[in-house]
Amino acid sequence: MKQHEASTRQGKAGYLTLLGLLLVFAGAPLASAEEWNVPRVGHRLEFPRDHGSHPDFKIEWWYLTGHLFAGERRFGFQATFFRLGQQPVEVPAGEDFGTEQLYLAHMGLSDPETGRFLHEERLNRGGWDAGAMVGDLDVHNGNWTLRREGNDLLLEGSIRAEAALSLKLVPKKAHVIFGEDGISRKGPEGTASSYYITFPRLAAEGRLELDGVTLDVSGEAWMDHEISSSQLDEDQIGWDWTCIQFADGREIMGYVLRTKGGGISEYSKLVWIDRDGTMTHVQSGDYRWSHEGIWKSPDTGAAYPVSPLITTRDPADGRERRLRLVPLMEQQEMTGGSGGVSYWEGACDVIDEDSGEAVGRAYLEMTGYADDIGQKLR
Amino acid sequence: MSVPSPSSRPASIGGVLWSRLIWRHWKREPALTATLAGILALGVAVFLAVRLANKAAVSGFGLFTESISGESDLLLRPRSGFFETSVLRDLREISGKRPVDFFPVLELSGAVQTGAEKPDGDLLRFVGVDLVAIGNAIGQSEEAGEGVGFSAEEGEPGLLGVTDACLVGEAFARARGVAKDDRLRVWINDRVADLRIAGILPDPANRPAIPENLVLMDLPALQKVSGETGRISRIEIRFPEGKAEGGIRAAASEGLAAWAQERGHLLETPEDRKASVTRMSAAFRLNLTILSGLALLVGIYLIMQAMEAAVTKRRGEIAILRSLGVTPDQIRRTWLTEAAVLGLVGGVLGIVLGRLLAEGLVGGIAATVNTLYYETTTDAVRLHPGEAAFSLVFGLIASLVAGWIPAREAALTPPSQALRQGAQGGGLVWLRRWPVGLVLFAAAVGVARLPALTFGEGTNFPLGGYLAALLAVLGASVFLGGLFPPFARLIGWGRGEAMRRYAASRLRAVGGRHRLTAAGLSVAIGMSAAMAILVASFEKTLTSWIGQLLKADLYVAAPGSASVANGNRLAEVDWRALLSLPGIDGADTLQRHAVTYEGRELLIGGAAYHDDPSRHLQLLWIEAPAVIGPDALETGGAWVSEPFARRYAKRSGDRLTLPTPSGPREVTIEGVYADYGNEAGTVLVSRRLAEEWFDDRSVSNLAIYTSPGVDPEAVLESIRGRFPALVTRTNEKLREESIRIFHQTFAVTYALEAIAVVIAVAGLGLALAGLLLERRNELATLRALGATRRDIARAAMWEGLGIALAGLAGGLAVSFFLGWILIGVINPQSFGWTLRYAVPWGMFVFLSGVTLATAALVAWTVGYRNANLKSDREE
Repeated sequence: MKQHEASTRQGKAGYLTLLGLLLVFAGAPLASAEEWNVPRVGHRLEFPRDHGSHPDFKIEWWYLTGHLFAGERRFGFQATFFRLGQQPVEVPAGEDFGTEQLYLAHMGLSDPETGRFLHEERLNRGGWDAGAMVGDLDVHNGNWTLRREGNDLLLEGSIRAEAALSLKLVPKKAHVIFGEDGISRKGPEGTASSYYITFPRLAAEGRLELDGVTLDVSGEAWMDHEISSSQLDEDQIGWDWTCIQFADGREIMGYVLRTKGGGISEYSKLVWIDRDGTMTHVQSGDYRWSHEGIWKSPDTGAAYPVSPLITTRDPADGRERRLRLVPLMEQQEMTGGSGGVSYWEGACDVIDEDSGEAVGRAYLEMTGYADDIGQKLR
Repeated sequence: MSVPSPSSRPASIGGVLWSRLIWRHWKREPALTATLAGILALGVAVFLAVRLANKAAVSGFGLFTESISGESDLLLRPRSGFFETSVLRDLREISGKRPVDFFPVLELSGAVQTGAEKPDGDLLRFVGVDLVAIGNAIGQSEEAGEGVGFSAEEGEPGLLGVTDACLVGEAFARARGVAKDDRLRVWINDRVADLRIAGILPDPANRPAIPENLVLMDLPALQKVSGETGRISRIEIRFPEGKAEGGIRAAASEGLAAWAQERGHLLETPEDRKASVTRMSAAFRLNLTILSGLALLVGIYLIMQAMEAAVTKRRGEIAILRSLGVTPDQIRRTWLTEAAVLGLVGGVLGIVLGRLLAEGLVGGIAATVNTLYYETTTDAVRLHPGEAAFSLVFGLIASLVAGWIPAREAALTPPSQALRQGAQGGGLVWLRRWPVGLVLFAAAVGVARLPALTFGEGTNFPLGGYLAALLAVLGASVFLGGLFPPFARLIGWGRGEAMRRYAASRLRAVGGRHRLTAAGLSVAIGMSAAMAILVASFEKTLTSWIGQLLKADLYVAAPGSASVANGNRLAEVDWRALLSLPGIDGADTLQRHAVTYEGRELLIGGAAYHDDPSRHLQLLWIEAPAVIGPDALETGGAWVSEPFARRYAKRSGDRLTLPTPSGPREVTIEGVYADYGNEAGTVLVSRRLAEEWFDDRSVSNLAIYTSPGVDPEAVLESIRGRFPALVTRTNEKLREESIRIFHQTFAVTYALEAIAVVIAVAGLGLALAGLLLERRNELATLRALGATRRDIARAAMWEGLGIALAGLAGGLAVSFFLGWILIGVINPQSFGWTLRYAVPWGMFVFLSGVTLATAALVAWTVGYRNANLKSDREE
């Protein structure tokens, strides 16, 4: 069926020759980090201002993932708004067709019942059809929007004419800021770091239109907001990241940064978040992430370890926990279109490997398996 | 021998008849058969070629984005002028959460300076699209990675954020010999820009090729380079694919339609747009198609003639077959089968030939459409299966029509018919009654008075005119039978030599085949001469119109002004600066705006005339206004062009409501003027009014009057020095240019006529060959009596001349009537042009001379080659 969809779309669009144009842009030398602002130690973030856009930083994203339920049915969703700052240019940015910011956005929906993974990518210049407000959370890209209204976050999205999603997201916990001294380090150089703000548990409620049916859905979501000018160090080729929401009200945010030599960067992190928001940081040597359950993408040929085993000590009782992520479906690969980056971003269940019990839900993200993501985000 | 079973009997008789009556003769006279098939092939080929070339020539028509980004679902455009980019935000807002993609497009014309031989430069189409957003449809494709043909090396300057980068297609690069990173010096409006070719776009696999004159730029860059800041020409709208597509499309379309209607904008599908644009040139292309049927019509006469000959020749065999019990019906069927087989063979050959011929025609048709109607880009000629089938069927029908009467005649052969070969019997009964021709003529005159059929949106079809033309041609072909006796007397005049008198005697007792051959010739000559009358009348009218119109010393226009569709302009600051150059006394200025009026393109012109009462633009009036003078328009009235007046049935005193960016405006028509420059129609108001309506102080054309005693050439040089982007011509140059364009538009017509005459003369040779073959006993006797081969050739020549004279006389006679129909009926009804009747006598003499000389030569050759035929008694 997928094949069929693709061919009809191609027949209609016939666009493909233009894809290269975007490479012209993406391939152009991006400004060196020196020209951009970088996260500074001790900087105090203020809200709601810092939920908004930071155009003096090169890379910024608002990243929502979550699990939705409609009766017996279950879905995973992803909605991401990227902002990519561009080098100052000869033509000053017009209000309608800017050249200083590009906005990339991804929307994904996992439907394990049918095995469908729907996704769409958008790339627009800052201007009439895409932008992010400075001072508060209000980002949009085409008809996709994410904004703050009072305490709530409102998300509107769609995937082609296949699905439409409208959610109200209410924080069950205040946001947290990862990293020591307010900055999350990704490498030895100070520039490879970010301000990393997260809503670890949002109650989600709204509507999902799928196959001509409108479903009332509810569930839980997670939102990252990262602000940086360089996400990766020279030596790093990609990462594996997860956010786990335990049934007991706690969460884990953890990632391993993979290096060119096949190793794991010492800047990899795992953080436990307690019910009250208290964080426990675990350094790279103190937890294990074993890459297991290889799934090979038929589209990109990339081999993703979709069912990793994470071993870490539970700060509550000091016990070692062996947490197995089990994807709801293997095909949750976001194949890159105009953005040119392919990655795997999917909904998982979390099983305690020792008791065999389901202890929570997670989203798993794996980048740099299909191509060198570092080039784009360094 | 086995007795055939009853059921297989008809088939086997058919087979016997086929091999006996047809195949045997074909084998015996392969050249004759081949010529017949060839004539049909040429007829079908010309017909198909014109249809294919018509298709290819107008395939591009202006939606240049199609080949780059695929077809959109809807197009939104203002009725006049541009959109401001701010409408995009409104559109996003009214479509709410619905996933609708809006792609703004700025499309402008301009030119590239390619060399001294084209002072106007080479017309270009600049298309500005958001090069980032346009990639989003790729993102929706799951096979996005495929087909990437172009990418920049790392470290190269990009396409965005710069104003000098552009992309062109492979055809552009080939035609102009440019490569990536070359620079192009282009003109857009009155500006000069130096662009870098940032990449060559490969042609998409399954879409129209990227037009040869397309220059693609990032939208804001084109806005900046052209000075059209914040403006877009149209917005292309797409709906995403998926299960909810129908619902999204319906809901979004409804909202968009309401929004567009409220603001007076146009929302249409690309198919609607294509249809409405191509409709503009429909009349021109229809005329061409009808003319392309001419060769086939001539062919019908010739086939009829040849089959008639075959019936006469095989009369004896038919009689025997009839005696053996073959029914008339079986005979008729056999004959019709022959016609059908000929038609099929000719048709298939014609398709191959037509496909090749079309290549040669596309350029000519496209040039005319570009000049008279709208900017078009040609597509590669493709053999559409539907068109091929249509032409094949058309050829088959022509062949069956031609075979019908001979078949009937063959079937009527009585079994007891004397077995005398070469009987003079047969012939078409009605063709022998020349007064029938007069009746047909009378009918033609009557039919010509019918009003045009009117389709929606100002499209007229002169059905009566075409019917009258057909009746007149038929009438002439019947009537000319009556011309043979006098011509026979003419040829046999005086004592003369024996061979001439022998030929005259044959012409005195002409058969149906002489008549049919002459009829074919008369059709070809008649139509060609009629077209010559049209062209001459057109030229005469145009020359006097140009003479009246072009009174100024210098003409200045934004680049690309040779095309009606051109929208380039000179900014106010520039044209004012230009007019303040020394040596300029004053000028007529014109601004032009294309608007959509009742579904069709219309030009609104804003004119301001030089205030010298003796030196300003003088229009040629169809209905003169009460006041004529430099200030006549300043009272707020409008003058409309004749094509406009005819299309919308408007006249002086009528009121018009015109769409303008500042809302609908009402004006009163005060005069109708002749305009042979465009068929779209023009409404002329004062420039002051147009400036107000369109909020635009630029102009597109200036007619400059130099101060007394100043050399216009010197002023021209100073203008060129100061404004290199503008096209500046002297009065004389512009006249030359206009006449050149005029002849270019008729180039295709000339070719079609020539083909018809060639077919007709070939047919003459064919007919004579048949006649001589029939008379071989007689020829043998003549040879025995001492006539040389050359004598026989001479006799054939005189006979051929007689037929040619009859055809020529009939053809020329009918051409005056056809010319009148073309000028008095078809032209005004389909184009809205009043022409003055002029007969190109010189051309007629030339046509007659060439026809007679060729006919004589062909006839002599046929006679010479057949002089040695053996009598069938010696066979």
